[in-house]
Formats: sequence, C-alpha cells, structure tokens
Amino acid sequence: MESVTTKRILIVEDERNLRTLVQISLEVLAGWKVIVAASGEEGLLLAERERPDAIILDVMMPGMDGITFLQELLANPDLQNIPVVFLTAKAELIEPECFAKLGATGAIAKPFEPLTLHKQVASFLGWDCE
Amino acid sequence: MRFYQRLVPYGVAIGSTAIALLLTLWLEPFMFRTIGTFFYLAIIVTAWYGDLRSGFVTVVFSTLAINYFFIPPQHIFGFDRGKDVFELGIFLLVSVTINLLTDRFRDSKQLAQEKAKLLLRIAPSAAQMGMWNWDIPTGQIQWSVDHELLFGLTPGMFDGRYESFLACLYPDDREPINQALQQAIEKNSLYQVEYRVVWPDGSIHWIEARGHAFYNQAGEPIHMTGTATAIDQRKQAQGLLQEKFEQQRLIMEITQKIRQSLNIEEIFQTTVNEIRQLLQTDRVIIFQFDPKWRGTVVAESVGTHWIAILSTEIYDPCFGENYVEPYKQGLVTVKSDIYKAGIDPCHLQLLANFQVRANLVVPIVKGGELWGLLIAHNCAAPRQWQSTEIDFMRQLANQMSIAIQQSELFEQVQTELRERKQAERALQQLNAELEQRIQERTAKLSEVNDRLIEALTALQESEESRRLALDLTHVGFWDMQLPSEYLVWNDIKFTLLGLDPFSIKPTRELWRSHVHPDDLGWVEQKFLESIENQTDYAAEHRVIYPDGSVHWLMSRAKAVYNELGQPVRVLGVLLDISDRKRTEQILELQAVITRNMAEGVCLVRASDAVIVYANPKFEQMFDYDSGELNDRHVSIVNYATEEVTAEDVTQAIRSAVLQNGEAIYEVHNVKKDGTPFWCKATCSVFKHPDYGDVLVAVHQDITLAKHLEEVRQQVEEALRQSEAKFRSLSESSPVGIFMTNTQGDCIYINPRHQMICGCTFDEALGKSWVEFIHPEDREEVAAEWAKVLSQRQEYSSETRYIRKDGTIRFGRVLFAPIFSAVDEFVGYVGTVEDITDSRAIEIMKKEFISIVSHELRTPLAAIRGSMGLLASGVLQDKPETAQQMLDIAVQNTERLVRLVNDILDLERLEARTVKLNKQWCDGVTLMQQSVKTVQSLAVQSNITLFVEPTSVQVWADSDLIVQTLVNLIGNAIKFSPPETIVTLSIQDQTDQILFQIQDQGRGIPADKIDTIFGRFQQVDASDSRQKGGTGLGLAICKSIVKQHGGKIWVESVVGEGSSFYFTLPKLLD
Repeated sequence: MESVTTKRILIVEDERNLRTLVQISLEVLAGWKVIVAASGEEGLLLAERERPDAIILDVMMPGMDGITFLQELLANPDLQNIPVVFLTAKAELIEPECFAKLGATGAIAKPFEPLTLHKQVASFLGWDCE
Repeated sequence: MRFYQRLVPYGVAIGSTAIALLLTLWLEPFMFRTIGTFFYLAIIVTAWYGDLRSGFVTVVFSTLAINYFFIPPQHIFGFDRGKDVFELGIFLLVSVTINLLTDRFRDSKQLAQEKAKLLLRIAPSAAQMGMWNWDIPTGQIQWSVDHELLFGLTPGMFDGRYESFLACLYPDDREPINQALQQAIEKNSLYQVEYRVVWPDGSIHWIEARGHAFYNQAGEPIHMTGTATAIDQRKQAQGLLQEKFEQQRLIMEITQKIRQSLNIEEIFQTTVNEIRQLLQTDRVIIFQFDPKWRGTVVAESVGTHWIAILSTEIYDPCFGENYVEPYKQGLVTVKSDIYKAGIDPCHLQLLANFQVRANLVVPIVKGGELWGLLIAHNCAAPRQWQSTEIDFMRQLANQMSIAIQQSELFEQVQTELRERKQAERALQQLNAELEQRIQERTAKLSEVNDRLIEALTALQESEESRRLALDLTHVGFWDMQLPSEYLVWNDIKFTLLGLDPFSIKPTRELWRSHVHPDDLGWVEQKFLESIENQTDYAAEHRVIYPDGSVHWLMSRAKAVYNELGQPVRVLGVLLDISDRKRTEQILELQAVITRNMAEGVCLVRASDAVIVYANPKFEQMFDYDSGELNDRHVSIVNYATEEVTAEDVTQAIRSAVLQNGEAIYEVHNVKKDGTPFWCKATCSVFKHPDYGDVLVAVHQDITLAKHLEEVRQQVEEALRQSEAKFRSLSESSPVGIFMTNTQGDCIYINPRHQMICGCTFDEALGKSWVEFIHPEDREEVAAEWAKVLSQRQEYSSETRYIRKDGTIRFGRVLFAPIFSAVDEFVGYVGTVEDITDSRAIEIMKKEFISIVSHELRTPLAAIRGSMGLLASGVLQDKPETAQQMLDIAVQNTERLVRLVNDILDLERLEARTVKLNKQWCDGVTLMQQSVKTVQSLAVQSNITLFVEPTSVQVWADSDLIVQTLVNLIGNAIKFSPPETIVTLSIQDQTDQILFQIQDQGRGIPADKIDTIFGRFQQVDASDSRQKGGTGLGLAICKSIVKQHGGKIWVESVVGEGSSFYFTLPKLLD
C-alpha cells in the first residue's frame, strides 16, 4: 500500500460552495493536496498540467458536463489512467455497473458526508488513508 | 419572156468562161494538171442558171480558151502533140457530162415544184372538201363541185340561194347555223360548225364547215369564204364511243345499285329502263323461271305503243329441257327478224303475240342454275343486234345474277333476324305474362266475380230468346206408335244424336244406344213412369255421338191414350242444351270458388253503399254470422279513428273505385266486436243486373303480415341503431382499432388508427399492421407477431409507427384473437393507443425531476457538508474556515428556501390554483414599486434604473405583475455591467399594454432565446446561481403573464443588451 500523504486530487465542480467543502474536507481530513476546477474545460487543462492522482468529478455542469469530460480524459493517452470518482446528484450513476460502463472508478452521491468523503474516495481508489 | 432575158444565160456563159480563164491564167504557176477546174465550175454555173444550150456555149468557149492559151503551141489554136489532143478530148467529154448532169438536176427540182403545185390544186377535191363563197351584199352563194356532191346534189343543181342551202339542212340544225354565221360576221371570228344535211334520197350526212368573213375599209362585210368537209365517219366513231361509254356507265351504275341497294325489284326496274333507253328498243324484260320452266315477267320497260306483259306468266312449250342446258352454258340467242330465223312455229306464235319482231335473249345464271332471262325486243322493225349490244346485255345479266344472290342472302338474313326477334319477343312476352299473372292474382279473383255476374246476367237476358230460337230451329221431333214402337224422327232428331238425317232407320234401340250409359237407366224409368202415370215426361240427360263427344239434351214427351187409357202414341221433342249445361257448370264452379276462396269477398251496391253479398270467408273475417252483413251499410266494417270516420273511409274507397274502375288499397277495418285489423283489398266496379253498379271488394287480412312487417322494421331499426352505435364507437374511438383476417391482414381500420399510421382505409386494407412500423423496430415486431399469430395468443407491445410524411408516433399495441361462436379462429382485433405525447411528457418529467433533484441536492449537499464539518469539531482550530462553513450553510439555506418558494409559486401558477386578484392600477406605479424593491441591489451594482413616466391603466393582479417586473429588473441588474442603465417603459397599444425592460448587459445567445423561459434553463446555471438565481424566475414570469392572457418574449444582441417584453390585454368592453 503506497503512502497517501502525497496524493494530489483534482476536483471538477461548478458549484463554488461544494468545491470549497470538498476541498476543505479532503485537505483537513485526508491531508491530500487539492486542486480545483470550476468547469470541465478548466478541469482538462489542470489535469494535463498537474497530472493529479485522481479526479473527483461533478456530472451535471453547464458547458462541458462530467460525462463529456470523462470521455475526453479517456481519449487522452496521457490522462486516461487517472482514476475518476463521480460526485453526483444523479441517482442512477451511483450504481457500480453504470459508472463502470462510463469509465469511472467510483461514484459518490450528493449530498455527501464530508467527514467520510476521503475514506469513500480512498476505498474506490484502493488507497489506505488511515 | 423578154428578149434580153433569153440572152442572159449566154452572157453568163461567156462571162463565167472569161472569169475561169483569167483565174486559171493567174493561178497557172500553182496549178499542174488541173487546168479544167475553173472551167468546170463555169459550166456548172452556166448550166444551172441557164440551160443545156448556154452550158454548151461555155463548153465551146472553154475548149477554145484552153487550146489557145494552155496547149502548146500557145496562143495559137492547134495541137503539137497527140497527148494534148487526148487531154482536150477528155476535158470536152467531162465538160459536156457536167453540163448534162447540172441541167438534169435543175430540171428534176423544177419538176418536183410543179408537181407540188398540181397536188395543192387537186387536194381539196380528193379530200371531199367543198369550197364555198358567200357574197354578202347580193346574198349569192357559190359552191365548188365537191361542195355540191357533199350535199348529195349533182353538180350545177345548187341555185346559189341561202334559202336553198337551209332547205338542205336537218331542220334542227338550221337555227344554230344562222346564229353561228351571224356571230362570225359580227365578231370577225372563225366560223366553224358541224351540221347534218338531208340528201335528196333522205339519208342524213354530217358536215363540218369552216369559214371567215372579209370586210371593206368601212368595216362592212363583203363576203365570206370557207370549206365544207364530210365528217360522217368521225361522227359514227364518236357515236360508237358514246354508246360504249353509255353502256359502261350503265353497267357501273347497276353494279353500284346492287352494292347499295338490296331492293331487287328496284334494281330490276332500273336495269330494264336503262337498257331500253340505251338500246333504243321497244321492250326489255326480265323473265324468271319456276322449277317447271314456266316463268313470269318480273320486270319490264316497254314503249307506249306496245303491249305491256309485266307479270304475265309464260309457258313456252317449245322451251323445254333442250334450251336449259345451252342457256346454262351462256348461250345467247340473237334474232334480227324472227320471221326469217327459222324459229319453231309455236314459239313464233308466242313472240308474235307480244308483237316481237327482233329479239336478243341472254340467260341469267345464278349459282350454276338457270334463273331467268334478260330479253330485249324490237317490235317496230327487224333489227341487226350489234356485238357491243350483246356484250352489254351479257354483262348486265351477270350483274343481275349477283344482285339476285345478294338479295336472297339478305332475305335469308332478314328472315333469321325476324325469327330470332319473334323468339325474343315471345320470350319477353312469356316473362311479362308470368309476372303479370303473379301480379294480377288478386285482380283475377275479382275477375271471377266479374264473369260470375256477367254470366248470370247474360244467362237471364238470353235465356228466353235463346230457347225460342233453339225451339224454332233446332228442335227434334219424334212420334212413336204403341205398342208397335214404330218410330218417325224428323231430320233434327238425327242431328241431335250426331247422325246424318235419315241415314238409318229410327228405332227405340238406336235411341237407347245413344243415351249416356249413366243416364239410360233413370231416363227409361222416368219415361215409362210418366206414360204409366199419364203425366208429361221431361228429362235432361246426356247422349253420346258416334264420334264419342257428349252432349246434353232436354227431352219432353206426351203420350196419347185410347179410351181404355192405354197409350197408343207418344209424341216428343228434343233440344240440345249442352251450352246451357256448360254455363251452369261454370257458374256452379265459380260459385264454389267464391264461397271457398281464402279471401273475403263482398259486393256493395254503388248507389247506397249497402252490402248485397258477402262470402263466408268475408263474414268469418269480420266475425259476423252468415248473411248478417247483407243489407248493412258497408261502413260498419271500416274502422273509425279520431281523425277519420268510417263513412269517410267508405266514401274515399267508393270515389277511388268509381273513378278508376278499380283500386288496390290497404284499409283499417273493424270486426263485429270492435277489434280493428288491417286488410289489403282489391275493389272493382261491375254492372249487376239487379243492383246496377256494384263494387266487388276482395279482402285479405294482413294484420299478421303488417305485424310481421312492423317487427321486421323494428328489428331492422334496432339493428341499424346497433350498427350505428358500434360504428360510431369504432369511428369515434380515441383508440386505434383494427381487425385482421386469420392471416393477420387488415380487414378493418378505424379513423384513429389510420391517423396513427398516416394511411387511408384503402391503403391499409389487406396489409399487415407491421408494415407501418418504423423500419428499426419492424423486424423484431414482425418476428414476435408471427409467433403470436401462429399460436393465436394475445399480444402487446410499444412500438414506433412511421407515417408516409416521415413523422413518428409511439403506439401501445394490444391484440386479442377473435373466435366465432363455434370456437373457430376468425382473426385478430387490435387496439393502438397513441402514446407519443404522454411519452414525451414522461421524458420531460424525468428530466425535470433530475434537474430539480440536482438543484435541491446541491444546496443540501453544501449545508449538510458544512454543518457536518462544523459539528465534527475538526475545524476547532481553524476558526476562519469554520466561519466560512457557517457562511456556506447560511447562503445555501437561503438558496434552498428561495428555490422551494419558486417551485411552489410556479406549481401554484401552473396548476391555476392562484386566483388572480385583478384590479385597475397604473402601469407606472407598478414599475416604480418594482424599482423600489430592487433599488438597493441596483445601487450595490452601480446601475441606474430609469422609469419612463407614461401613465397607463392596466387591469391586472398588481402583486403578480410587480413580482414579474422585479424578476425581470433583477435579472437585468445581475447581468449588466456597472455604470449602465436599465430602462423601464410602458406602451398603450390598440388592444394591449406593452411593458419593456431594456438593459445594456451582455445579451443572450441566439440559441438560448427560445428556451430561457423554461425551468432551469439559465444561460449559464453556475453563473446565475452565483447571482442568487434559482433558474425558475423567467418561468414564473411567463406563467404570470400567461395567466393574464398576455405574451412574454425577449429580443437581444450579445454584447449590446437585451429587451424583455411582456403584454397585458386590455379589458374588452
């Protein structure tokens, strides 16, 4: 099990408050380094530049939505190995077969539990965060 | 001929010799042995010009000249050498010859000219051309000898007078010649005429005359000169030609007539008429044979002086079989004079009877058989028949034959046609009769009554007189002596037994043998009894004639008794009463028929409408006892209603029958007990011997039939209604309905289903419903359907229909198999529900829930997250972050509240649960009120709000309009950069009030213009949320405006600004 302290996470979320929440939650509770993007387009740029260890992705976003973002990501050989976890209000996407089909590694429902968010993410990614 | 003229040839001789000499001298060096050339020419010239003598002069001079000048010794006459003598001799010889030849040649030419002149002189005479000259002032005419000959006169006979000339002419030609002459003189034109001359011997000859007039300087005619030529031959040729032409024309005409006409008599008549005219003969006939070689003249054309023999039957005993065969072979008999032709005397006699002098007979052969003869007679004189005439007759006979054949053929066809027509007519008639018989059944029944009455009347009327007549004319008497039984019969008595009068000895036994065996016993008994009882004997019985026929006789007898009371003699009479018996029998039969008829019959006196007779059936129909109806007014059988009295009904029937003689009608009758019932009746009027005009009414109870008809109509109506009900059920059903046969092919499709498929009834008929399915679904559906169909199961599916125009409808299809009463599978019935709209709504709903859930979850997630972090205490050391969390929580709580409020507002508006509290208010006030609400926000954003102060009264819910305005102004502020103006204005338009909110913001992209009034359809959701929007503001505005009956829209240019408009309708008076 590799060390998790150095993990860098990219959060793609149009909702500013949620972005902040997720960021605080992961930074405070997991000690991960968090990069935030307010749109899909920005997220792709940051992913390219920062090469995060994982991406937490909102699905319903204006402009480029989460599904499109994931397709773009998977289409890019440099980025396609970055695991992606959906953070979504869409109930059907929570089903494992559904997100797996779309190419995501995991999915977390909104509203989420901020205190255990990092654990949920880690469990999808197979990280040890204790 | 003058003297010098005679010398000219000699002068020529000398001159030409001199010229020849000079030329020869001049040209000598160039000439060798041809010295004589020029001299020869000189000789030719001289001899040609003059004659032989002058030619000789040239010869002599030439010889001397040659001797002198050219033969050595020169310039001396004489010879040195023998050779020169020979040469000169040759010259001399040649010269003389040339001279002779030239002269001769010239002579022969002159001779030819002379001859030509002579010929010209005698030509007219040879051509039989006469010359004439007419001195016009004196009137004297001069004729050449030939001219006189042309007129048949001996030379010198013509006295030169114009009148004598005219006298020689054929009378008809005189006037034309006068005119021709006059015209030629007047017009100075050529005179040319053809005329006939009558010779003194009476023969007629044709002349052609030509001539021309000559005039003096004053232009007066002096004389006329010309020629006359005999043109008999030409005329004859012309005549022949004309005749030939006429013949051909006639043949053509007759041929044509045969083609055009099938009237053989007309053809015959035309033929004989034309032939006679053409041949200028006295009679032409067509003679037709019968099988015994007799015959009839079937067509004739005859001159007025000669007897007509048309239709005469002729039998020529000499004709016989001997002539048939030759005629069949085409023999033509030509007799120019029957008296010199060696004809059989009997035949000659026949011809003489018809005044025949010459005849021409050609056979008419039809189909190898001798049909008849075409005959031309000359009666006036013998006649030499021409070969052209014979040919002509033959050709016509051929044409006749064709005409006859055609005509017979036509006749045959006509006959067949007629027979077929007759057969058809008979068939039609039979049909008509049959129909009529059926139709007139009722009428017949009344006719029976008719006859009945008539017979009765007739019988009564005639009985007396007939009896009397019979008594007088046909009474048989007999007289029998007793006991010898010696009998005497009169002739009638024999006749009454069917015997010839007095042909047999009358005996009692003879009498008995004729009486009908069934009657003999009682007749004899009665006879004997009456004699014994001394009463009169009377009996009606039958007798049988020898031919087996049966007759009725009435017999009466009276015996004469002696003083002992013994009968000595019996006298009797007999009458034939067969007719009466027959009538009686018929009457009885008719009476039986009437009594037992299924129809009720009653006789009503026309004068007072009283029933004089009703048959048992009629009485039974009306429930009366026998005879009870007699002498009652007929109206007691007619049913009275509130509208019509029984008398009215009676009167109406009477009028109808009396007017038309007969009437068929349905009538409402009533029984004795008052039960009404319907009858069909036929009523006719007749004359009754006792009652005068009588109406005979035949009634048939049709209550049952009427009832059945009513029931049938009711059932039919019920069926019709039921059919209409089910039809409307299907036709108006909001669900598509169709039926298939056992193969699954459509046999019915209702209008709704047609609409779903986008097809007509006819297009769908016979097709499988699967054909209207979207191609992408079709295969799958077809496979399932086939399976279901084969197993006769029910079936349901949702599928896409594609219409012809390419539009797609979603249908929910349900099928059930149909089984007949005997469980036989007859097809499927199916329904299709158009779920296109509900499906779209379903999808919209899903999408909306998804959006709402997202919109709700987002603030919830924020609140939950921030509060969770705060509550856990992990932020105890981070008071700033903790504060941040609190802010997030508060903000999102507010957002959530707004969102929930908006959703509720919208739902209430759209569910129309909001009652509009409308009142009059000023638009400007509303705008100002709204501005006040958002003024702080505007100030915060550094934006100026400007309201155009136009006062307009509006009829609206002021709170809602203010909410709308606040929303729109709020949006304008949010999306406008600082230092800009938002302008509010209001316009009073014809039928509406227009509000406008104009900003200078960033504008709305064109692709969003149409959707921004939808729920959660922000141009940029995250953006709007940051500005505190819920994504429902414009949707609420739209809903409010719509509730007011107005419209809302936006016009925008990206980067320049947007204008939101909404209208409110004016309150209409």
